[in-house]
Amino acid sequence: MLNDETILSLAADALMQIAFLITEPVDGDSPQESSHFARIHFKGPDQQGELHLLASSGFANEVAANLLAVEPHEVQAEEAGQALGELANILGGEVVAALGGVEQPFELGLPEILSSPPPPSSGATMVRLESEEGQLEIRLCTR
Amino acid sequence: MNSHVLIIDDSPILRRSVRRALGQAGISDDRILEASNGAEGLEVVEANQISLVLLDLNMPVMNGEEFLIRLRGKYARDDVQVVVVTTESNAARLVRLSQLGISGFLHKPFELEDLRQLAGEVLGPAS
Repeated sequence: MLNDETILSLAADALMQIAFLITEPVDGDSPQESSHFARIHFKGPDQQGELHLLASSGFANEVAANLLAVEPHEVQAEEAGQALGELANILGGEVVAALGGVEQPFELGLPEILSSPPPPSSGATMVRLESEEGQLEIRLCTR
Repeated sequence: MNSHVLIIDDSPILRRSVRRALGQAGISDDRILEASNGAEGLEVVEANQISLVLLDLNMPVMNGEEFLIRLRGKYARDDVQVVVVTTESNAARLVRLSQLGISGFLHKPFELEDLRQLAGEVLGPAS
C-alpha cells in the first residue's frame, strides 16, 4: 500500500511533466464539487486494485488546456474527460511501478471515463491536491 | 522525403498533444498520421510510407505488443522504426519489446521536449 505522501508526489510529478501544472496538497476533509471522473484497474501477483480520479471542472479543463496548448475556456467537456482519462492511465502506471518495481509483472487496465463518481471503497487511501483552477481527488484502493 | 510519422494511441487528447510536439519539431502536419489502436495502425502502415511509429502499448482491440509482432512480420526495423511510448515499467516486458526491434522507449509521463528530441534522433536531421 502506498502512503499519502507517495501518491501526492507521483501525481504532482505527473501533472508537472504532462501539463506543466503546479499543484499543492490540500486538506482531505475539505469538500469539493467534482464533475469529471476516471478509473483504472490494475492487477499484480500479490495485489490488485483501482485508482479513482475525481476532478472539478476547473481542474480537468486546466489539464486539457495545457495538454492542447489552448485557453481553458476553449476546452470542450469531452476533452476535459479525455485529459482525466489519460491522467488516470499515466498515474496508474506510476502507481503499479511504485507497488511492484520493475520486477513484478502488473497488468494495467484501460482507463475508463465515467459519468458519475465511482463508488468509494472502504480502506482506500484518499488524497486531494489543487491547482489554480480547481481540485483533484485521488483514491487508491488495493486488496 | 514523403514518409510519415504515425501516432498510435487510444487517447485522442494525447494524439493531439503529440501531433503538436511533432509540429514544433519541424514535422509538417500533413506528414503526421494517427490510429487509435494496433489494428488501425497496421492498416495505416499498409497504405502509407511510414518512417516512424510512436506506439502506445495499452490499447483496446489490438495492443501495442501485438501490433509490433505483426509489423515485424512484414517490415524490418530499418524500414519502419518504432518508438514505444508507455507507462510500462516491468523489466521483463520491456526486454521482450526490445527484442521485437524498436528504436527507443519514451516513458509516460514525458516532457514534450523529450519527444521532440527523440523524433529528431530517429528521423535524422533531414526530418
